[in-house]
Amino acid sequence: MPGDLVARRAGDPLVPPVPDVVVGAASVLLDGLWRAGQVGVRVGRPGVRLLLDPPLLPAHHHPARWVEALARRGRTDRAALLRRRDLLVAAAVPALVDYLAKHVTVTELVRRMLDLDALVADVDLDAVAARLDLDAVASRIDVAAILDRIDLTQVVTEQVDLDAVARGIDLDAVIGRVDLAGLANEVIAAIDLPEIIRESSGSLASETVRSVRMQGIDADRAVERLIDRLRRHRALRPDDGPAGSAAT
Amino acid sequence: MTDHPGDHASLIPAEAREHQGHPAGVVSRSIAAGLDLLTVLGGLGAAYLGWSAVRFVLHTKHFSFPRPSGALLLSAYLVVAIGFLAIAWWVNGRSYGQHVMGLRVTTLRGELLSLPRAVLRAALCVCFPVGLLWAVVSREHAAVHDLLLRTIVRYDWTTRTSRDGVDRGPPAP
Repeated sequence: MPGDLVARRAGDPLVPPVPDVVVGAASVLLDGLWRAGQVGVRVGRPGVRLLLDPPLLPAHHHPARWVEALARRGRTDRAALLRRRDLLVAAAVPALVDYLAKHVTVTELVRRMLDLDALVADVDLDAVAARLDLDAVASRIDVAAILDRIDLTQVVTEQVDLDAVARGIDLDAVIGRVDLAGLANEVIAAIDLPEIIRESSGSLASETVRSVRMQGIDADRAVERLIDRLRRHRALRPDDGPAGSAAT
Repeated sequence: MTDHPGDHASLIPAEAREHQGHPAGVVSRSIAAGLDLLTVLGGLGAAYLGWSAVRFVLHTKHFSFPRPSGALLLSAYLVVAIGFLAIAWWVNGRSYGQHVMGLRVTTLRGELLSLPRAVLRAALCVCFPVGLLWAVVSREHAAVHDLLLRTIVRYDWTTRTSRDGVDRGPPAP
């Protein structure tokens, strides 16, 4: 083709590459075979039809019946093969997964192979949260148990600005609701003012008298302990007879 | 003792509250008795001096200190001591010495003594003071006169004088 030779640029090799030639030849061959096949099918279809359904033979002796029988057998065998394949997969896959799990850390594999950030970024968390029944979730929470584990006193002490809370209290209103006169009467009745006056004005209310009284009580207790010890010692003396006899 | 709920606030020191209402021991009671004895003797001495002063005023020229007989002295001591103790126990439940030591004499039910019982107790105490030593060996710290007259001496630092205001303390034996 002189035109192609003219169009070839200077410096290109004159002989085309061998792979291109082989591929082109194969393509031409396949194209020819495809066209020949189409022609063959178009020409041979009546013959094959005549061969499978010959007009002179009884219908049950037609070769088409044999072909149909073969097709049925093939369908049945294919279905059986599929079932057998499913059974084989069901038996083999768990064992295979266990085997792989022993030798491959799946978590590490997922972490290495998957971009979880990208996956999570694509998730519409708002839509997920909107579908959640938060009332049902909250109803299953044991609030009492949670409160038991929390030191509310410490939380309030550290987190709450009690001064600000106290500043917000209307003390005048609180005091206004208190019966101060009645409260004062109760306090006066409780502290027994006459008793206080008697105690504080008496000369015997001094620290000296208190000290003498307490020392007297201590001495009393000391004597009591001594006597108790002597009693026990006497009760335990073997030459005084059995211990039980002293108590009778 | 005075710390019952709803009762008045107590002025008794915290270390003494646990003892209030319990039977008093022999040491406190002996000190109180000693103070009472000194008080009675002091009163008798004052009476003697007063008597002498009256005699001095009336008989200045021939004054001499009176020399009472032993019987008179003993009688005066008995009368003054018994009267001093009996009236104090009847009115207040405590003599001066017991007031100093924070003690109070009551019946076993916690009531103040009636006048006859107070007189009898005072007479026993004055005539047989050794009976106090029985409180050493008594499990209830009861002296002889306590056993005879069914009385008890308790620690009681309060100063109430009302006959109804005496606290009964723990159950008496």
